[in-house]
Amino acid sequence: MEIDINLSQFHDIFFEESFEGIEIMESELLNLSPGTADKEIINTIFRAAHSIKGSAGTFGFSEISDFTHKMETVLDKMRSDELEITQQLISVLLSAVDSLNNMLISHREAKPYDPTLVENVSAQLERLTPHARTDSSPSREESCQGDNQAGSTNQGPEQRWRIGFFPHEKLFYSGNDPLRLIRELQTLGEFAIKAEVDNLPDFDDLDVHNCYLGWRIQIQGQITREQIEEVFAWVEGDCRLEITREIQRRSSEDRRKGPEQSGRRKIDTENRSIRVSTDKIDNLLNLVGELVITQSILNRVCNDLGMDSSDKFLECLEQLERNTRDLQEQTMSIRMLPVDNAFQRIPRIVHDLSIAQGKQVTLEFSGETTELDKTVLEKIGDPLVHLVRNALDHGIETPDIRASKGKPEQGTIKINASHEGGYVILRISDDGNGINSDKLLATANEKNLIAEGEELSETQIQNLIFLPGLSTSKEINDISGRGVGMDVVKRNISDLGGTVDVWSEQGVGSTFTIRLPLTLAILDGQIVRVGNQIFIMPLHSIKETMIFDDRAANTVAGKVELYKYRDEYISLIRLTELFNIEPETNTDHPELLVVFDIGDKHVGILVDDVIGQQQVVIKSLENNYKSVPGLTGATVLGDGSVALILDVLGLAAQHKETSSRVNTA
Amino acid sequence: MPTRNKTATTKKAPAARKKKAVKKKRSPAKSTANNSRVKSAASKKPLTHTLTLDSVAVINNAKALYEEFGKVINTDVNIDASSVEMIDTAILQLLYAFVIKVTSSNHKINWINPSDEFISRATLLGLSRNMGIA
Repeated sequence: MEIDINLSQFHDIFFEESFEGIEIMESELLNLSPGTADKEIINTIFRAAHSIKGSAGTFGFSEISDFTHKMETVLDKMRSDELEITQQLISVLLSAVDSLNNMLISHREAKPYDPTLVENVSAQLERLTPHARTDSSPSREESCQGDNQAGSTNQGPEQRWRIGFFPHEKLFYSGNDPLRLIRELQTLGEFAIKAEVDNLPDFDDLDVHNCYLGWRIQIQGQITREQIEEVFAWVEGDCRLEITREIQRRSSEDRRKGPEQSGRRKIDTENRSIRVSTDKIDNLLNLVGELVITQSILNRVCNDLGMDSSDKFLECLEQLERNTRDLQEQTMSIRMLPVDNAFQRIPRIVHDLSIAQGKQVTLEFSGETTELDKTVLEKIGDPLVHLVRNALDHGIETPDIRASKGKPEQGTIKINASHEGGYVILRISDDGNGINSDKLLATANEKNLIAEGEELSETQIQNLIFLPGLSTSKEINDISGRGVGMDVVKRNISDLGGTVDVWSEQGVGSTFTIRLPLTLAILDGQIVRVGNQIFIMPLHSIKETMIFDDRAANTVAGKVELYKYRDEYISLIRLTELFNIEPETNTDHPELLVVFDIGDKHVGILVDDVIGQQQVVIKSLENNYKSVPGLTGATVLGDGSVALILDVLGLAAQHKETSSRVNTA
Repeated sequence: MPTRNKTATTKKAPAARKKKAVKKKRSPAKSTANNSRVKSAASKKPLTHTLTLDSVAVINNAKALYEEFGKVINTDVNIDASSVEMIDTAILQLLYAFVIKVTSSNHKINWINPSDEFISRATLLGLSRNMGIA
């Protein structure tokens, strides 16, 4: 009879943790400087590789395990100073990380990978360590022996540790085997173990799928607490772990000074963190959203029933409202991750491109701990990478050109994240050549991207860079110059409800500023009425609301309406026409024009009434109905009615498209 | 505290164990003949059975092994671990509980040529001495 412990159910966790290991290896390799064997960095890379190797072996991904073993061998030689740290060595290891990443992706997606690339890197690794054993597969013990030697090269002082390892009963269900952990621990130093069998039931009552054993272990060597914790990282949350450094015998004088500081420290592995699927979080968010809606319905019902007189009831209602809001904020915060996650690809790109182009670049990050919604974070990665590539390709000059301009030979790219209001601002700046506005304008004119005779401000000219099909690069290469990037960058950011602007000064540098909403799940909205339909407008992009003056509206070619707003003509959008809404016949109050900021332009939307402001929970139309142009979603209001949320950027784009067609005609 | 409760429960265990062991001693070991892995080594009392562990003994086989072991707890048992190449904690824990069960009912366990791998893994978990392997 076989039990249902299917290791494949843990593959997701394995892949997730292995990709994290890949990121660590890559970022730490980029921190290595040729000629300097930073033991801490090398050990961190080694541990990440070792963890992937061990897990891959457990799950039967032998080629990953074998390949990582070869990386380990090289890393081991590096930390024992048998291999000099050179740029070439770092590049080989970075290629190995890439190959490992490809292997992991191919296993995760059950697709084949190109073995020649892996073989090529594998051969390079073997050439670096010609006399090393690289055959890891037949016995896991053998590789552990190797690790033992490697582990002893740790530079720390000799320490003695007492470890209490008490697995939870259901540990086996997570695919973990204490034997593997204890064997790995044993490789760290001199080792003694005692099994704790008190919890083991009588044979008749034994559930063979439960783990009843515990262990008390003593280990001595140049071992740090982090190394021990690393061994047990896989069972975090599945065990009680006690790690105690044994107090060294001290002189009587020392004893008079009092007890030693480090003493006993129990690691409460259960309270640190857990991995939760994003689906579960999203379901929780949806439920909290429903709660918020019910809360506002309750408020409305109480008002309608005239229950204002009951102070106690109102007090309870306010308390419920506060609690609901707190619950919502806390739940939202679960999805928030440091923006650092989106920066992780950038150092490698800068490293590779600067070598390829013979440029010297310093990359500086700040505000990496600023938090952003996971979805926004995932989608901002590509635009960020593109902007950094552009900064390196078009902005930063080669060292000789920089020297001739009196600039330091090494250019700088700075990436900063910060909170401003309800937004996260990302700034990507470089001290390169800046944008040549004359050239940009000439290219735009040449490609008929701007109307003849149209006068543009310096900012407007610089923002032409976001137009589709515009590139001032002389050569088309694999980095940039095809003119298909910046418009996509802008579109991607717009899709996230954000904006991107550019500032540049020729010879000094450029700064791209991205403004992103903290989350895509809730919105500060303005409730408006058009006919009998209620709409929600994103409050953050409303510039002002004014009484509509019929005389300021003009129709171009009988199709597109423009409105004279201060000194400019702005697009005028009538929702009654767009969504086929019966216009209001009662005209005893004036129509209102809500003016929106769209980048450096404005657009006006005509409404019958402004009802109020409210934070709304965004419900996807795509998931519940289908995608509708001009709408980003829907929400349920306090009276239980459904209101549609306007996609102002989309509406503006639609209007612009119609306007272009009219102009062309 | 949960840990204390568990300790209290297990303190009662030896008494319960003895009681069950005595009770089971009276029942004859009938089913051993049908299992190819369990061989009767003698026709007269006391009975000795031989259990042979496969080269790979891991948690997936634990339930089957438990049932097999359960049939011979009231006899002397030879355990042939000579071909074990891979064994995990779940099976070593099962063997440990089995050894305690058999020996506490005054029967004997005899290890037949335990492989190096078997000994090293049992030793690594701190179980070999109490199991009578080392």
